[in-house]
Amino acid sequence: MLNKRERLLLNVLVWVAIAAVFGVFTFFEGMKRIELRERIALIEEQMRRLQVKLPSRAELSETKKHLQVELKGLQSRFYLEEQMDPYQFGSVIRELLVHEGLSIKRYQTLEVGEDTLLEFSVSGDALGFFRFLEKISRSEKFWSVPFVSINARGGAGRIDSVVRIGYETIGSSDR
Amino acid sequence: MNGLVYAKKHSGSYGLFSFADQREQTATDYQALLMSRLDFDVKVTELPRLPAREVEGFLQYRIRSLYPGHPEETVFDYRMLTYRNMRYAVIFLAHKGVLEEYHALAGGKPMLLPFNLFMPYFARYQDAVYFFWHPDWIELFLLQPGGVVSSLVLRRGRAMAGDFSRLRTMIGETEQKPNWVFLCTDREEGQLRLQAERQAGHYQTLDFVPIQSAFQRTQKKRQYLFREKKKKRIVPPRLRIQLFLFVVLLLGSLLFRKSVGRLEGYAGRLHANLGSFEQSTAQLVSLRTEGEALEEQLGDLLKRRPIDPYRVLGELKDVMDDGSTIQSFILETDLFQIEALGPNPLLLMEKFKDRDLFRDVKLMQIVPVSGSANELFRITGRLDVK
Repeated sequence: MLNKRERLLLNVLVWVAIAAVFGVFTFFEGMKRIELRERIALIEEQMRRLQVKLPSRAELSETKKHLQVELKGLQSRFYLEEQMDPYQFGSVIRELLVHEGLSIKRYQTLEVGEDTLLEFSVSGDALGFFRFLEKISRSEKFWSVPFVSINARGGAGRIDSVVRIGYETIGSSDR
Repeated sequence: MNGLVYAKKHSGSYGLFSFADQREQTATDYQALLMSRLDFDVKVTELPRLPAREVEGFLQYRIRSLYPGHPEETVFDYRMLTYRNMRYAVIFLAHKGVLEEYHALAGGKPMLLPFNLFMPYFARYQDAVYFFWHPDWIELFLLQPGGVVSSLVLRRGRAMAGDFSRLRTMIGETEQKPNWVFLCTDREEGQLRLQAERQAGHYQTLDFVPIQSAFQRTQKKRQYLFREKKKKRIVPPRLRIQLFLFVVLLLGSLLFRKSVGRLEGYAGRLHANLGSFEQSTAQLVSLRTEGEALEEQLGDLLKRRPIDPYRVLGELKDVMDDGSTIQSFILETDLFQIEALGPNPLLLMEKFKDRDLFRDVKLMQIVPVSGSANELFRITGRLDVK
């Protein structure tokens, strides 16, 4: 049987052990708590950053839709390579010029880089020529006119003109 | 106020009496009650070496041989005493009913017997005979060499001298003269001293202590007798504080753990939300990227839109609305040159500035035409085909 001193010492030992256990537990839980708080702050900061920069899904979808429509419209104004060739195009232009009452003095094909242009030397009524240019402007497809010269020195509403004209193409993969 | 009063039975019930004037008192402002030694049997027994918690059990067994009363009707209390390296238990025995009467009389106040008043003086005198000179009885407590430790009581006679004579017989004579310690009232001290001095030679020293002074020295609860037993608690008071502390620590730790657990849960949910948020953000980023790709494609195609000579001529017509006539017009990619005849080519230059389609427009040459208000002029420039 323990005497008073031994009981006291045992009591102190038990309490030291209890304090040690609780101390260790508190230390590790405290460290865990600090770690968790840091992690939470990091995630919250990440979420805040992500939230600020981007527009809404609805806005982005709408924008994409508009762009797609615009692009499709623009692409449709280009010929596919297999849709047209210079000679077929030449016929179309020749017909247009004749329809407007212009006389074709000469026409030829010109290779400019990878493109093939058609050069027409025409003469006729100025108004007819402007109507021809108007038709080019309003064409469903893009017709490029990299060179045009108009000489109206003759007077009496008549002009002589040299026009180089081509058509724009687009690859089928680009559509 | 009387510190210590004594109980005395008269007319069949106990009353409270003052030591000062031996009159009954009704006031309840006293500190403690001295019970009548005549109602108690005091036995002294040697104690073997025993742990403290086994002493009571030993004494209960011992009482059966010391006291004739029925065990069920007997109550006892005890105090420990060490005398000449021997341990003794001083046992106070009474009938249960008597004690109940005293409890009712005391009303919760401390109760004691003369032994309690002797105790503070044991350290002063090794061998002594203690006398408690009560108005009605005398208690004698002997601590004498040869292991004489005992308590005796006698009723007082008519004369003090006769009492002393009987006391001397009870004390007996020993080789070593003991110290005599008298606890008495102030009134009787003088007479007692005279009587005691007549017994010259039979004592070593003579000491007279007023009863109230002796009582003041016993102001420690543990010295009082027959305290009403409190219910035994499962957990001793000493351990209760420690248990309370332990429970507080445990609860505190559990609460702390719970708060950490809640943080863990929140962090988990947040992480899951971030995951789905990142996923939805990735989808948005993908949508935005697709949009940007479409814009790029559109931009590339828009750059390929051919210059429209019809539009250029239309704009020129608007600029040259002052009556100027174009003599020649050349357009090559985005460069243009016009030769025209007009009245004020300088004014035309101002108009070109207002047109977004034209830039870097220069008036190259002006040649007035003789006999006319017109001038032949040449303009070059670039088209802004954004």
